Amino acid sequence: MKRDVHPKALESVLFPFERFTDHEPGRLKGAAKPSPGQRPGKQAKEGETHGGGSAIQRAGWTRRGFLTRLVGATAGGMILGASTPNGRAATVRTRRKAPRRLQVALLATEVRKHSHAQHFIDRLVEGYGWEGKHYRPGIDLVSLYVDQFPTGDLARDRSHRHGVPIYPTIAEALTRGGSKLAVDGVVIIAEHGKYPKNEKGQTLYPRYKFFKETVRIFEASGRSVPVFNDKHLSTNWAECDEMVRDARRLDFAFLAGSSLPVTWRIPSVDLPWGMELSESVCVCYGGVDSYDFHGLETAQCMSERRRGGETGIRSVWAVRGEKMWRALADREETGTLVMSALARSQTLLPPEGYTYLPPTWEHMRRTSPEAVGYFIEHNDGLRTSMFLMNGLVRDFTYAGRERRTGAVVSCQMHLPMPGHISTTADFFNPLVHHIETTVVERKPVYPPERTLLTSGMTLAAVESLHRGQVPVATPEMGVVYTVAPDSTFWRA
Amino acid sequence: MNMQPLKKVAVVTAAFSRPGPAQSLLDRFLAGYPRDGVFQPRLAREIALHCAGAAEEDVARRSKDFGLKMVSSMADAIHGAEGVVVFPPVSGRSAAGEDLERILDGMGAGSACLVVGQLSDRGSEAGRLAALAASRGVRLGAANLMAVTYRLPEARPTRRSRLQEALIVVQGDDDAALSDGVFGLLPDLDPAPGGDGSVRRFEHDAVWRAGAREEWSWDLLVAALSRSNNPQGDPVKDGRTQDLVGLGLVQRLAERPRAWITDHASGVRSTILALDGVVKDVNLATRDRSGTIYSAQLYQPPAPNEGACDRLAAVAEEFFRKGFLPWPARRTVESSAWAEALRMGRS
Repeated sequence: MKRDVHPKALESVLFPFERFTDHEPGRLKGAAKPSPGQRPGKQAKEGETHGGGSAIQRAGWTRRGFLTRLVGATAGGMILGASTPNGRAATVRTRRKAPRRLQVALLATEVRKHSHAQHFIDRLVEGYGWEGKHYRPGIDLVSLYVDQFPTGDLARDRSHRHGVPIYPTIAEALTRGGSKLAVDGVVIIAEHGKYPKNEKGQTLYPRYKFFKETVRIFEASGRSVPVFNDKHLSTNWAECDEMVRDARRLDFAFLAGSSLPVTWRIPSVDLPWGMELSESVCVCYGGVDSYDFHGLETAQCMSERRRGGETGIRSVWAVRGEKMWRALADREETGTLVMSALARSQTLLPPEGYTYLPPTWEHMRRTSPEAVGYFIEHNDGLRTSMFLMNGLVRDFTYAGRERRTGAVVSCQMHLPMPGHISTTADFFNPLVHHIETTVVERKPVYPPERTLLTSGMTLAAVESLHRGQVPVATPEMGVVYTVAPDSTFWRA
Repeated sequence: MNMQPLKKVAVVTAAFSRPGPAQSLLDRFLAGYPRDGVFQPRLAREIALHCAGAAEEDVARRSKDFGLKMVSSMADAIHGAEGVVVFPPVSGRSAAGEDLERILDGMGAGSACLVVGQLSDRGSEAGRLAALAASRGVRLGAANLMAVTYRLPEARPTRRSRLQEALIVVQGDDDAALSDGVFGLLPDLDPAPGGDGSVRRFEHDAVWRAGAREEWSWDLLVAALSRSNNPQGDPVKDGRTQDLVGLGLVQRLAERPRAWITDHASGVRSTILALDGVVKDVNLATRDRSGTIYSAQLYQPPAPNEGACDRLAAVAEEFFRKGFLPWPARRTVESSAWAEALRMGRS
């Protein structure tokens, strides 16, 4: 399967926003244009606090000027490059050897303030803080598909302001109105929005549907490009497994999952690669089929670094309320890791009248009577335990025990959450950076098997609760994979 | 690190509100706190509080649950204490010189006194208090939460060459801004920033004109603001990220901007920028003579836990047990002297 950019898309690649050629999108004619390097005395005018525009527009080029440069460059067979996350040239060779920035489509369920899609779109078009700079991605968002437009919709605002068209179908977003794939990467953000729930309480977000529609375009176009899928893959195992197999079959880079594995850690530690691990514990908050996935990714991004790598899981047992507290009381070693994790929390609900007290089991039971616990057995004997302790904490903490010495590695996966201690959810910064790297290098920064397995854990836990809090065997989840020693979380 | 509890620790504070650092620190002394991933036990067998303005309910609860001793006489509160923590009467400003003198007079040789804030409004007075403490064999230190809190990123690069310039973005009135600025910057100015230097203060548009003259560095401001999680303006309205400097938003959003620029005797230039309305967190950036820029957020975990108090509790415990602080002793006086110079806007 060829992976070159299709030359038919050249015109739309160059000038996808024909209607905006007289002035920047969302910008009044004659208005001052702020530039990334602007300094005092060159302030944006009233009502123009926004940056954006296409890469061509941001570079301050006219259509004619751009064509002139392009012709000059291609005549000499030059390849110009944009800076990439790893300092490599973010260019591809088309048949005409025209240099250009890589372009991605984003498929969203809804775009409103603080929805996941808003966070991803704004980082792709506005940039974000990265390694001590305001970083402008080396890839361009060039098309959108948006499934729902709720009250407070921001999709149309972003589309207009940044000149990124919203297409009525996924196929059109990926082909940009043509007949074949016309982007270099696909970002699927199917989190948030009004979707039905099934009898197990799972929200039927259309991640699988978006993905399969994308695959259909790949197949029809005879080529594939990297794909990112936000959060877990789907709501049943067969679909999750099929998504990863599709990526292998069509040979495209597939990155997926949560921002938890890649955000800041306090302290800034990783599980030593190759460590013998006996148990991983995450204590967090949120709902089943929701934040539980983040908690499982928190644990799994550590567990997968253990000696021998991941071997898959054989069972999942999910319990709630008093049954959970009894089960935890029966597992002394798990309990000590829960306390180690909580020693990294900065959001412990204190008893009334206090600012902070170390937690006691009695206090934990009282403040989180409906706590949920997932107890997961891996094929190599590792145990993963994840707890949603709503009422007690509002952060994600991890603790893992070394098998032989009993030494504990612990940290907080730091989420500066909007409305709490932040306005911009910057834990998405490293995830967007990894998306760019995956698109540019055509290789996922970490394997999709991580998210395949955590999706499976989530599904099996939902099933366990649905069946009356009984253990569920997971012979189909023998997901075997290894990761490189390099850490991929945010630390610079 | 489970050690035997100290015999007695005292907290002397003018305010005991919730949330508030005095109460947060005292709660950790009473019941323990997390350190390096492990819960530490209660710090001392006897823990005394001297506070004229504490709510009766707050004190009664702690007395009942943890045996807190509320002591109306400051002399009695500190008598026999191995460690005393003093919170200044005005948040972010300085300890009342008279009270601190009485405290130091009442403390025994070998004990330690940690002031959360500056020792005094005046550098000369701070020096006198430090000399008094030394004469009585009392170890004296000063810091606020900015000096100890978490940094994002955590790692500081090894400097390839000497520091050239530093800048910190803070908020609040002059006292709070200067206290956070001084304690936030001092760790990055070591080795010694130099005691004598010149200070200039700018306000409103003069701040931007000084920047245009490169009296402070826009590049460092870019680096510092890139670490913010709390930009104001459009991000508050719709969650977007923005290039605050590149889009010229800093000048538009800033409410009564102020800049304090210090040319330290060591040749280092530092700037404290109070930019209310631009961001709501504290971020800094430094540049060494090789041009390498380092930047970080001085992360302030939220109330009610105020997690930075874990770090402050750890610093206090080490100070009380072992007698040393994780920074040079001269910083105790230096912070007061520099803050005074900044307030006066003069050399």
